[in-house]
Amino acid sequence: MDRLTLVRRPQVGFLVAFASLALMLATPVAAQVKAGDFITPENESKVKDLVSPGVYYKVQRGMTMTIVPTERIDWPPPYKDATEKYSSQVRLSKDHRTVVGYVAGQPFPLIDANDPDAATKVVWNNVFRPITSDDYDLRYFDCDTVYTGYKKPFFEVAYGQLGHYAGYNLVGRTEVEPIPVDPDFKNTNRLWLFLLGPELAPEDARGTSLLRYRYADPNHGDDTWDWTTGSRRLRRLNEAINSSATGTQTFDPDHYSGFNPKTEEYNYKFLGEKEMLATVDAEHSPEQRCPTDGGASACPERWQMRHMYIVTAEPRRDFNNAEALESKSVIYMDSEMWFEPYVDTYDRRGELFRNHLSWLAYRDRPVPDAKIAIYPFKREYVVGVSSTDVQSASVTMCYLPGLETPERECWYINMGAVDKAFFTTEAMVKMSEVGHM
Amino acid sequence: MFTPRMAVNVGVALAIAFFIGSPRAYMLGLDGSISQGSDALYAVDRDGREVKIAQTGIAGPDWDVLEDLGMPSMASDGTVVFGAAREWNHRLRWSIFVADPDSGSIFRVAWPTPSEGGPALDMVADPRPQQTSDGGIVFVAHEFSGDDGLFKLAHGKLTRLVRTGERLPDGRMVRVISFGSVRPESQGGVAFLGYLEPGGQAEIMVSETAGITVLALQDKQLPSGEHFRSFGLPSATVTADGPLVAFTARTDRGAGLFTFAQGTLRKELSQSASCGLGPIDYLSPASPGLSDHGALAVLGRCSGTMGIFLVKRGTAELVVNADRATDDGTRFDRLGDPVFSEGTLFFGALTVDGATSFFNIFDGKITEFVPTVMPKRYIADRGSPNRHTIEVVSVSINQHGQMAYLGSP
Repeated sequence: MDRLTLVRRPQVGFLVAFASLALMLATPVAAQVKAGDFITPENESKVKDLVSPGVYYKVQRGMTMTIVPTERIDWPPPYKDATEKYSSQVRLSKDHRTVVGYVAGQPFPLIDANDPDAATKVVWNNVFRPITSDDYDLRYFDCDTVYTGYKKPFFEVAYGQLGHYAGYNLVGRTEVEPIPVDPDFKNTNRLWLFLLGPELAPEDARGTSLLRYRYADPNHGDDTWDWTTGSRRLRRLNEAINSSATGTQTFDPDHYSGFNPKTEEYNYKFLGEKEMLATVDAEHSPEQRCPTDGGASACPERWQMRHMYIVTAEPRRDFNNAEALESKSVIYMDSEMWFEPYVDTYDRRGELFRNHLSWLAYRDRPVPDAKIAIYPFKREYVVGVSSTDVQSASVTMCYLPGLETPERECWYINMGAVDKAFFTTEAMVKMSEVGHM
Repeated sequence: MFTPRMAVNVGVALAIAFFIGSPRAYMLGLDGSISQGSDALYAVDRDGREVKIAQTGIAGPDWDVLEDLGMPSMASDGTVVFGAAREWNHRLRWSIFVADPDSGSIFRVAWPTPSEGGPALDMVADPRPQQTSDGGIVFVAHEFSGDDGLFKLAHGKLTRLVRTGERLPDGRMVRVISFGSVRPESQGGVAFLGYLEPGGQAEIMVSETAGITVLALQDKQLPSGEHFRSFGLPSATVTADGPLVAFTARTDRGAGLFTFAQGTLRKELSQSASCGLGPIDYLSPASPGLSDHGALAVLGRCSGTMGIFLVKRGTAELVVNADRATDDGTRFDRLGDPVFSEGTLFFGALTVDGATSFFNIFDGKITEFVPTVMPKRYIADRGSPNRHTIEVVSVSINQHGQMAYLGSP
């Protein structure tokens, strides 16, 4: 009996997960909510079919929502222009896993649910998404790690503060020279560069940093290095570690900013499209700590009905991704903003594991009193992110800009604020050893 | 006698030898290659042999190292027109080249410079040059003025056929010319995808003699009452009745295949049309196959089965089924978009064993296409140690069945 249970459990888990998703997609798109509704755990059933299982978990535990009317989100004009100009020549490669002929903008602006490659195209649109096409530098942000629960008092298990969350894209550049491709791409094949760190708090982790390179070659996995305080040395990491959260916090690098692992290491399946709730034009920046769920989210915040594409990503365990921690990620992609407001991951038993949730603001500057990062058009900013381990109720909630950091402007997008020299192991070590930028 | 020509040849040979050992020989494109990753451009010469024309990481005809190779176009006379990028002033900029696979010659195409009265072009992306029937070349390029233009180069003269910002007779403005969408036909017309303001996305035809014609426009109401939502890439040819343009489009009632000829827009196929197995539920947005006789072929899905369909009088005949095996037992995993050459239908495909090949259909029989003399092992032969891959979406084929394509070196 025990043996039978052990053998059958993973299948049951998968079945339950798929059945609930299928049920969710089959649900008629009837508006269970209307503008002006305020969602709390007392009336959470209203949104059960309008959010992912992971987001619903958070609502049940006190994350409140103010429902507002749906709003149109436009892309930054340079990105839109590049899409109209270049997308018609983009194709999936012969193995239908990567793109051919990409220059800039969105590679596949027309998603047809009947296209057998719809899921792969959605994911490539996410790779070259409009939110940060050239470079970005998120300076000073902070995160709380807490246990969530309805009306649970805020008790900080850990507090973290970081100096940079920065990236530089070598391909698909639309606003900062070199446009559209950095010539270095042809020499190094690097698609993008990313640096997180140095950690400024807590003191025992001060200096910890992570550097990651993504390559265009579908068979070249990401290169990742970290610098940690204890060893005071640079380490190259196994690629699979990027799917694991380390330390007290619950974020894994593969789910920073939504779904972020090496694209070709996953198989994608298009589950459907559906009207669902998301925060795409947050009221608050900086975000505010949620008083009703133990500080595990940003609330109350504005949520609106959005048209979403739903895609699953399963690691190609038999080919190039045997070690990824999760069995699958379910990506909920906003069809207009082209950023995933949330991603749920499932463990290897097929049970809901983690929810990654982003709150985004739509404005011409990251904060109302910005002095530098001011744009002639509105763009999206991620102003809050949470990673929730639904199996332990542990949550890391990050505020961008931070609640307790000296820098309030925070986001510098497509301004040339960072260049390639910023993303080297040497620069990371220097930055980490002195503990600041 | 050591002639100046010999000196140039020796110089080129030395330059190639010098750069062959360069680490740049391992550069990659966004091409998903499974080899070392460099791109190479191949064509088939008149004897049916495969010839490597160019390779990234190796010096091109101007001794500059080619950093990237664009999609080739095989002209009717067997020459290959293609774009290639070189690094210039810390930026990648593209040029147009013409190669003759028979003689092995390759040269960069030149046109009048701004000081000679020509436009100031800033070629930031693959111009996707296409040869026209009169020996000219049409391509799209960005100008330093900030606009994009569709150009025709013929007899040393560069003519701008249309540019962004240009006004149509009805007052609308051409806002965008979509790169990679240009398809010339043999009477001088060029079909392309663009955006008008006001109006949105549009299928457009331009020629030096007839000016600009809008073939189909986003949100325009069709006689059936439906409205265009978005457009696929056009194909263009000239039949006995004159120029014919074909394209797929999505309307508020689903996808369809449309043609434009003699001033009339016709819907050739609806998404709900029967295709033998049931209704069609998907049509590819790539250029449909279009023969000189007006025959149409399109990649689509019929009741969940991917296939290539011949379109006749509003119905679709399934001629290649993704689940079907060829006579030699090859089974397809994914099918590419079809192209016609002299009435024969060609298509690229990924087979279930992971190889990519090019196939043709003749008398209902599907055969792996191998140029006449070339031993099969030279093109993507699965068992050969000298195998190179073919990027099937890059294959260009002329009416004589000659091909040019990108692949691994």
